[in-house]
Amino acid sequence: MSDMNEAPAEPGWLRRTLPHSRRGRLVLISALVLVLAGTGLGTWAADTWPWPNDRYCWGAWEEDSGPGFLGDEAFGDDDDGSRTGRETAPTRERPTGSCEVAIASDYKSSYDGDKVTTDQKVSVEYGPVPKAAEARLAMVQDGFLGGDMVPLPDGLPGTVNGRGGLLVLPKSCDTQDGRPTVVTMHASGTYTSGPSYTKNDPADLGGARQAAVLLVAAANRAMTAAGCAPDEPLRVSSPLYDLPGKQERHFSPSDDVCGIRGLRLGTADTEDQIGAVTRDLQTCSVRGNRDGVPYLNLAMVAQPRLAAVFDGIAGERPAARGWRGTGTLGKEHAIVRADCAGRPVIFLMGLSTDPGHLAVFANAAAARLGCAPIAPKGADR
Amino acid sequence: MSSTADEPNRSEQPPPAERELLGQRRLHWWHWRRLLRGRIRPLLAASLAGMLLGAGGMAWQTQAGPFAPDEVCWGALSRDDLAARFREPDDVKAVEAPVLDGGQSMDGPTGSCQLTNSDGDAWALTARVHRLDDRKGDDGQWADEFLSARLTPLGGGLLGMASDNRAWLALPDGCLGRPSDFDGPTVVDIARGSWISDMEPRTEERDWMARVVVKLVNKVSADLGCTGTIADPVERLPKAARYTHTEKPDALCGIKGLTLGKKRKPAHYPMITDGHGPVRTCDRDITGSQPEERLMTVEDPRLAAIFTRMALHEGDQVSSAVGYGSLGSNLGIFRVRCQTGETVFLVQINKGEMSADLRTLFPRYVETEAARLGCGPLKLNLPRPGGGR
Repeated sequence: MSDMNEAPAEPGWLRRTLPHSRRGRLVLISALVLVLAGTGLGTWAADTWPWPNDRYCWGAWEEDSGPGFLGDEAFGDDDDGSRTGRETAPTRERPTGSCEVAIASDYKSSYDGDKVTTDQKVSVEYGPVPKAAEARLAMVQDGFLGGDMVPLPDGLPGTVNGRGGLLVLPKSCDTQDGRPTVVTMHASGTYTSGPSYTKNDPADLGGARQAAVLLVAAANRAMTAAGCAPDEPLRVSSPLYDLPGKQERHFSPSDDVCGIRGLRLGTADTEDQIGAVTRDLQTCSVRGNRDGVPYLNLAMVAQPRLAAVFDGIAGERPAARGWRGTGTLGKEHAIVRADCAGRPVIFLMGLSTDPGHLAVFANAAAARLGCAPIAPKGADR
Repeated sequence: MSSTADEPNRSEQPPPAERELLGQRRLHWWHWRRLLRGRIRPLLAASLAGMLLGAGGMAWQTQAGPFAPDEVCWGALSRDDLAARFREPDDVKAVEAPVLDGGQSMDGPTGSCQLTNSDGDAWALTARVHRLDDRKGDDGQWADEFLSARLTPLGGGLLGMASDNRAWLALPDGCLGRPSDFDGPTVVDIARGSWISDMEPRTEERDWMARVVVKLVNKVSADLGCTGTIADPVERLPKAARYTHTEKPDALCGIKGLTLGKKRKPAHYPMITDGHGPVRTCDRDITGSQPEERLMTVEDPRLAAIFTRMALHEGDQVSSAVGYGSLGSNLGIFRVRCQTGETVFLVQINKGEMSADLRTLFPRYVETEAARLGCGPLKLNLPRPGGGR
């Protein structure tokens, strides 16, 4: 404002626009200062900054928006760790896509001075479930129907835990041949300290409910890009009401696992975990108590959209003589689809090749749902 | 800021209208108008405005003065919420203990809130936040009242129930974590008045209780820093439970095959939990806070945890290939792991002369209910009658 004192003969536009009285200018300047101070204070108080944060996964996730992997805490003690995004959006013509957020940091541990390196990743895949039965079961059952998964909140068809989840999209996103499209999310990572110590250290999604929010946000963006979004975007509003049960140890090989009479692996020192047990979904996994080696994965799926994921891969004939419905007993996975309490229900088994295990599980689950046994007498002993 | 300052004005603006009226008179030096002359006036005005704004903002922020919230019970219930059940909702007063984390005691969050009726001469509603647990042994009465067949499960996978004078709902696992095997869940429960004896619950009042308990849980969760809002459950609730008048002697409590003998029929009609939920209770002759007879299956493992001590210590030991339990003179209880996790079966007969019936009913009840849950077959071996431990 130095031109105020020079008083040029021809007042410039600034001079003309500014108030002519000293008091007027004083008021204007005070006002400006106040506005700036106010904005600054507001910015500081609300912890926002006028420059936009980076966004990832088709714009669905924003830097510093809550979950650890999107904030500075992802970098540990590293002041210049890197977070990089990579993405391919689905389109109407090519309805598959993926996105990934990778976090890398290295720093000297403030605890023991060792060099620490972390590499973490959150990846999202959008696309129809694979055509081939084995590939589909490997992806959906092995990945997202273990005993550590719970149903998504608000009745959304899918499952979630603190490390990822699966969401089955509405029918509008199905392929021509009727396969549902799913969005999956998976957090992974490693932590290396010093020359020899390495452990699993998946990216921090901020808990299972936050994971559900992230998954649904990415799904909404991807559906919009693929041109199959429903009128109302999908939404998570409820809390995550149930978490998986605690691991239950079994010392004797003749202990019942998964709370089912007669379901025995004949192996000592195992532990099981019951995830969901509702009329829509049931999951239970058994693994070695010491080595964590997985022994058995069981699931019952009745939620219509989640069950639709298994359409067309349960074969045309009964799984074995005397079984209800249709099914196949494969090397890695077994699947049976049968009507139960008025709707088609899918029974799944992974890891074990013993049809007896599936028979005991399916009959117990069927009894709980109030329908006729799936496997014939004798198959379950 | 239209000013009436007297200093020479370099601008050619026409003087404001009020200048002629007020500004030009001679005033004593101490007159407020003279004191406020000149540049000091806009500054004063600005600072006054700032102070007002600041104070207002502060009051709003801290919810003081005119911004004090009119909500009661930890800020969860508005006067409108109360209007449905209180004649003069504006006169309702609350005595509250805030919801504080148990901290050192490891007891989880606790708090309470009591509301008076319009006359202010009686407590009309008591709300509590507390963890159900087995260690203090006072949850027997809680179970008597809050797991009664009068209560309808809230449905939608919620661990909670409601009747016209009792309601409870557990805080989400996602908020406090899943309770351990020996701790019950942390719940919000509400009670209105004393336990009404034999009346059937009224649906409309039950709905209000259900709505209120959900509001309380949502507010308490939010205050504990948890995200997510449980939706109003009322739409999906069935009519409040009624006494069943169609019970058959070979299907007591509506359970096929459960019988005391071909001809024997209990003197009172049963009331049975309506709808799928954490418990299935069949009560008879509900007088006071205890039913004369109760057959109950606790299907939710989190809730089953509060019966652990009872199953271990109350009476003589019941043996079975799996699970454990005990049988006393008026209580039989059995605990076993089913598909949903730990499950408790309980038969309680509070009339002395019926202990023979208890011995008959208890194993049959456990075995048939286990079958219904896909938890069978079970075979219970009872201790010898009159035999000590």
